[in-house]
Amino acid sequence: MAQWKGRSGAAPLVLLALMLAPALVGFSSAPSFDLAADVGGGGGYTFTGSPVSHGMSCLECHQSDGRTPQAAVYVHAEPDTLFEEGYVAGQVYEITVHLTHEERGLDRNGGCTGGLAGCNRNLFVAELLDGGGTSAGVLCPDGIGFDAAGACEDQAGRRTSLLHGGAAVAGQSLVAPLDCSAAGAVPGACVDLVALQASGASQEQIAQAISEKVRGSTVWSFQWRAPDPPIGTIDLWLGAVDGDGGTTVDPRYADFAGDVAVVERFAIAPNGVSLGSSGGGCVGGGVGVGLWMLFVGLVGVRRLRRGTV
Amino acid sequence: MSVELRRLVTALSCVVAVGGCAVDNPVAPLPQPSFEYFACAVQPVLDRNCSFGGCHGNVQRGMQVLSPSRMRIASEYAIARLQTTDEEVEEGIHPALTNVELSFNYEQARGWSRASSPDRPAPILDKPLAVAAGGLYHTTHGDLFASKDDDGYKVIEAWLHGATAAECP
Repeated sequence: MAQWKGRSGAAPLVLLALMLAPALVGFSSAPSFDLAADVGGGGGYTFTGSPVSHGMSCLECHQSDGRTPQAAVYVHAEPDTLFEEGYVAGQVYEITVHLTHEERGLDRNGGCTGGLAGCNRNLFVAELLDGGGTSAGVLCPDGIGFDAAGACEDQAGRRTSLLHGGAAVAGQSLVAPLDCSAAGAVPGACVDLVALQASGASQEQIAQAISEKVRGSTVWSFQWRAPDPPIGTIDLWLGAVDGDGGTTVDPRYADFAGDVAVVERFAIAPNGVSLGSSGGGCVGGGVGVGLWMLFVGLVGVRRLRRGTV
Repeated sequence: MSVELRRLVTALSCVVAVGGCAVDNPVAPLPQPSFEYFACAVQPVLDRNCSFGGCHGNVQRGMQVLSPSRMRIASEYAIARLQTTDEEVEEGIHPALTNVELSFNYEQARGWSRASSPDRPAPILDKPLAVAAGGLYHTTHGDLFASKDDDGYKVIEAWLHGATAAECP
């Protein structure tokens, strides 16, 4: 929320966003992973497909509808040598996860305060584990610092939160709009709070204007401090869901049908040990992998043909 | 059909029918473990490990598990939803199963609670136990209890061995 600081009308907008927050927290919010299963939570499982969850992933619940999934994930790190050159012991990386090719629930953006009308939510959860399935390094949400001892100073950041006492990280399923005067605000996707106030809009009308611009998240960032000393290859287990906005009896709760889930595992070697990856980021799932395999296949065919001529 | 052929078919039918009735294979009654212990101790294990839509929270499964936020009986869910407060909704807490839904789960679990051979435990214990620990292969992600010391395994085992409401955790 740093972009709102010092700007006209920012404080009321933050307050209104906070007022809306309870209504926006429903199923698929990050804390639901830590809730007991007998009240509908994840029961402590992360569902990234990792050994911690017995290999169970988002796919155990989020079932697609037979249409070819389009969604994929693109993972980028800063410093961007993480996936290319491996992790440097003790280095803090900012890892950004993009849910690309979102296609489900787009018509239900802005419906999150309407009760049972449906609401577009997306989600991601990740964990970094060593070969034995134990948490490796230290996770920390976006915008939160590490203390002098190297521990994360808070469990909740702006877009991500820690789960299971820091063993995993999950993203907020919704993203609130920016004030149109804020840096990075996109016309059409922001709320012009100054204009609304100037027009004499009531708090309820302003809250409604904000809720209409709330949409499913597609970008999440978190931090990871690599273990020091290094402990061998570490796996980034990641699951993401492109939610369809609810099609079941009570979409605020049990909405698993028609979603697309992407589950990926990225191996990260210690610096100096190559795993053969290339580039500053990783693409997984859906169209990304398909196009990459098609490209590799075509190159292979061309080389074969050249060899036989 | 000729008269002879008709007589032959009738005779064969009688032989098959009489022969079938003569097989000594009576239906064995299912165990009747405690419903109360099931509700307080076993159901949470099923909620956490078995109830996902891709697993047993699915009408296509031989054993089906209803669970809050997952598969429900629509009419019962509507009743349960009325009992849920706004505060619970905002905290992400889902309506609890009704007694009808718990009874459904109890009967489903009871159906898998009798061992099919003397050298194996009941399927409800045998299948979720990891193969490496002696369990039966279940599914790709089916090794839910790493060993017989797993809390979930012990709870179900206690239920099958007669644990009652007095032993609810």
